[in-house]
Amino acid sequence: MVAEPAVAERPIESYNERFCELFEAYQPALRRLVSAYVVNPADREDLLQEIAAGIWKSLPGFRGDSSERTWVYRIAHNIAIRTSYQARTRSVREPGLETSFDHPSGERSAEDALLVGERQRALMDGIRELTVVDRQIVTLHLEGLSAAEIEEVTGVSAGAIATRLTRIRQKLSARVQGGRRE
Amino acid sequence: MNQPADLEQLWKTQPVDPAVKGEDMRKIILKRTEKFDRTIRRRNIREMIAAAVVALAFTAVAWGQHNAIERAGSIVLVAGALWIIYYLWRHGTEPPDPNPDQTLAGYQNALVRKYDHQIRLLREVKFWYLAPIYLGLLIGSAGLLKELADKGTLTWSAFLFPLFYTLIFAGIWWLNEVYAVGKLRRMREQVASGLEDGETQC
Repeated sequence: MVAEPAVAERPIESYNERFCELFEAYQPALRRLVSAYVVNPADREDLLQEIAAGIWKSLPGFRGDSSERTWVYRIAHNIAIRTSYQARTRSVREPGLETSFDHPSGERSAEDALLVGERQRALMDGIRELTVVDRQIVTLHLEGLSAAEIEEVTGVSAGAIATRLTRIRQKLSARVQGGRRE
Repeated sequence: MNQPADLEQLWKTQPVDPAVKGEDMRKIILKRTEKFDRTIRRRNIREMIAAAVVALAFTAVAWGQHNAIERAGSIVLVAGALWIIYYLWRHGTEPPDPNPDQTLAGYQNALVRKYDHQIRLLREVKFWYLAPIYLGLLIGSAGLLKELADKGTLTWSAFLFPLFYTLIFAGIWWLNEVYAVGKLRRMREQVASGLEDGETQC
């Protein structure tokens, strides 16, 4: 059996290529994740760059013990959480959701788009008000990760995740439905 | 009531910022890292040059000094400045961020340890940076004041310089130990409270 070359022995070009592939594959999910932590466009870009740097630095240590997806999310969430602590300490009041970026559903009527925008704003506001653990769990869940995968990322047991998710989903649904603040 | 699928759809269709190519992001983060390293390196070099200037100047002062107390003060100052150069050379790097490839609780614990380490470093500033220089200045000033008193020319204005540098040193102490440590403590508390939330509700 041919052994895998040690991580340190791999050529740097392979890391460059791997990083680019990973970043491009997970960029949409990472951008959604970033929106759950910061609202200001400059802060969002800054956080995305920090996450990318975290992935870049951690890549040589990735040995495939966990799936690539859970590995990327673990790094991204941890860095986002650290940044959100720093932002809260700086007492930065996050402005409302920016509406200047591209909207994927261009064919919607203006009224529908407005309604969907309102509901998305309510959802994002609700997510940002959650505790870091709840925020992490629900964003991973909304990205389509299973309870076992969320457990792998967060370290919270699958049973506790299910309990928490029920409560969080109810809270967020009420928020989206009514557009009200709890 | 909304179904979970609705939340998922709302989440996945939310507007996001325009995409960046992987190679472009790689260049951006390399530039960021280099810029950060360069800033730290330049800060250390500035501090080391300033300390070298102080060491050279007070070596000259000590050399031509007749008053034993003032000479002792200058020697302490030179030793302090050399110590600062050594300390910056030896420990002048920022502690690395914790490895983000771990569970939330593990990462939060690592963050708490990092903040504790930074708080400890800031609290040590008074010992390795302020104390040696301040002590040298105090001894030198005591020698000067004694000399003036011996000559019978001691006036209140002779105390202005010691008062001036005492205020400067007190300001630096406050910035490090009250302002910066306070900020780090608040961040540490945020992380620790998040950790408690994770532990008590899991």
